[in-house]
Amino acid sequence: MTGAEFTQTLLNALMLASVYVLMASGFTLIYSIMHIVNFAHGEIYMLGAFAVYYFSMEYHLNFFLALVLAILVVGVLGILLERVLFLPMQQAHLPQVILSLGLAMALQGIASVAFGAGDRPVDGPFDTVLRFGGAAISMERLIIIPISVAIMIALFAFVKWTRTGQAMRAVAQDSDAAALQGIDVAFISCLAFGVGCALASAAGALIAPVFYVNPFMGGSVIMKAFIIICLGGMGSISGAAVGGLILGFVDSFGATLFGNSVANIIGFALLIIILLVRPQGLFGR
Amino acid sequence: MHLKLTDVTVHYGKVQAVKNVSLEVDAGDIVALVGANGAGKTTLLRTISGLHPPTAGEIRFMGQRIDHLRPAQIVRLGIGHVPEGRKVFPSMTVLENLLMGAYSRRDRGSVREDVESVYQHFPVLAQRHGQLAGTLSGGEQQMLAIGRALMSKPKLMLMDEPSLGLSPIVVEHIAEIIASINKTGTAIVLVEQNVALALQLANRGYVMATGEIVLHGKSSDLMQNEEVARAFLGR
Repeated sequence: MTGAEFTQTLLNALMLASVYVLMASGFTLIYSIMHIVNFAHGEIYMLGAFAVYYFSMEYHLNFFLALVLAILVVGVLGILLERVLFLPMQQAHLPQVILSLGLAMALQGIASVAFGAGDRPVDGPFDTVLRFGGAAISMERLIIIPISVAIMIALFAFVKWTRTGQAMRAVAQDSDAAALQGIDVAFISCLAFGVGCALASAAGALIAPVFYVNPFMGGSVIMKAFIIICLGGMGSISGAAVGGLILGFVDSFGATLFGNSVANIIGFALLIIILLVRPQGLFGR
Repeated sequence: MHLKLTDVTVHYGKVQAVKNVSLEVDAGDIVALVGANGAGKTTLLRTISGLHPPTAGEIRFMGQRIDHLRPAQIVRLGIGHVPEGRKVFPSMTVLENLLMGAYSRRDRGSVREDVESVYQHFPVLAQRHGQLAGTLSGGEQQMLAIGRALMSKPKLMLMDEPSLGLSPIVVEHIAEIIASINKTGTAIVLVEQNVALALQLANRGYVMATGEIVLHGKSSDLMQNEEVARAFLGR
C-alpha cells in the first residue's frame, strides 16, 4: 500500500465509521431503553436518505437545510411510530421485535411504491475534490466526518447533562426505579425511539450524496449496526461509537487490501472473536 | 387519613398475588407488613406505587383515588418507594442518584440543601458522592436507596426489605434512620422478613400469607401473638 492509498483508505474509513457510529448509536439507544432490537432501523436510515433527496433534489433546498429537515421529519416520524405501534404493546418485547421486522418490510414496500425502486442520485453540498499527496477525496465525503462528530458530541452532552438525558440513562439502567423517581417511562421510550430514528436518518442523509438512494439500501447497513452494537456492548452509546470506528476501519482497509467479500468476513470474524472473549461486548455490563 | 386500601386484588397474569387486602396507614405511623416469602408484600407495595395496577379494589391517598394513576403521578403526590433489592442506578454516581430522587420536584432551588441533609443522615454517602453506585457495598446501596427516596420529600415512604442481606451493625443503623425519618413526620410502610425488627419499629402491623391479610393489630399485640411468635419470631 502506497502512502497515497493509505491516506485515501484512512479517510474512507473515517467517513464510513462516521455513518456507522450514527447508525449504531441510534440502534443501541433504542435497545437500551426499550430492550428491543429495532429491525426497521435500516429502513429508517433509508427514509432519511429519501428525505434529503426530496428536500434537496425535488424542492431544491440547500443540502444542509435538507439534512436538518430530514433529521427532524424522520425523528418526528419515529415518535409517531412509537406512539401508534410500539406503545400499545405494553413492553411485550418479543411482539415488539416482530413488529419492527414487519415495519421494516412495510416501509421498504411503501418506499418502493411511493418513490420507485430505482437508484436516485443526490448532489452533495460541494463538488470540489481535495488532494493530499497522491490521495484524492471529495469534499462531500469529507464533510460527513465533522458533521457526525458534532452530532455525536451533541448526543453525549444531551445524555450526560440535560434533565431528560439523565432520565433516559435512569430508564436504561432500571426502568422500575426510574418510574419510582417520577420519570414518565412511556414518554422517555417514545423520545428515545424518536432520537434513535433521527440518528439513523442523519446517517442515511449524510451518505446519500456518496451512494445512490433506493428503497433497499437499509438491508446491508442494519447488519453493520448489529455487528457494531454486539462488538461495543448492547445498549452502550460509547460502545456503539468505538464499535462503529472499528468496523469502519475493518471495512475500509479490508476492502482495499483484500476486496469487499473478505472485508465482510473479517467483520463477522472479529465479532465472533470478541463475543468469545467478552460476551457482553467491549463496553457492555 | 393518609393511605387507605379497600379490598385490593392484584393479578400477575392469571395468578392472584394479592386478594382483597384492606389496609390503613395514618399520618405519622410506622406500619409493618410482614409475612413469608411470596406472600404478596412486594406486589402490594408495587401496586400502591402504580408499578402494577390492581385488578379490583380502591386505593386512596389523602382522600384522592390513586389506583389508576401512573407511578410518576403517585410520586408527585408524596409517596416515596425504596424498592426491593435497592435498585440504585448502578452507572450513575451517588450524587446523580440522589438528584434523580428529586426528579419530580418543582422546587429545584432547595434540592442542594436536601442533598446535604441526606449526607448528614448518611455521612458515608458524602464521602462517596462521586463514586458509581454499582461499586458501593450492599449497606451503602441501601442507604443510597433510602436517601434517594427522601429526596422526593415523601409524606409516606414504602420500604421493601431494607435489612435484607446486611450485617447486624448496618441493620441497626438502618433501623435508627427509619425511626428518625418517621420522627420528621413521614409515615412509613415497612416490609420486612426480619419480623422482630419490623414489629419493634412499627406501631401497627399486618401479617400477610398467600396474598391475604391474616392478622393485624398493634405491633405490641402481634409480638405477643402465639402464631406470630411461632411462625416468625422463632419462639
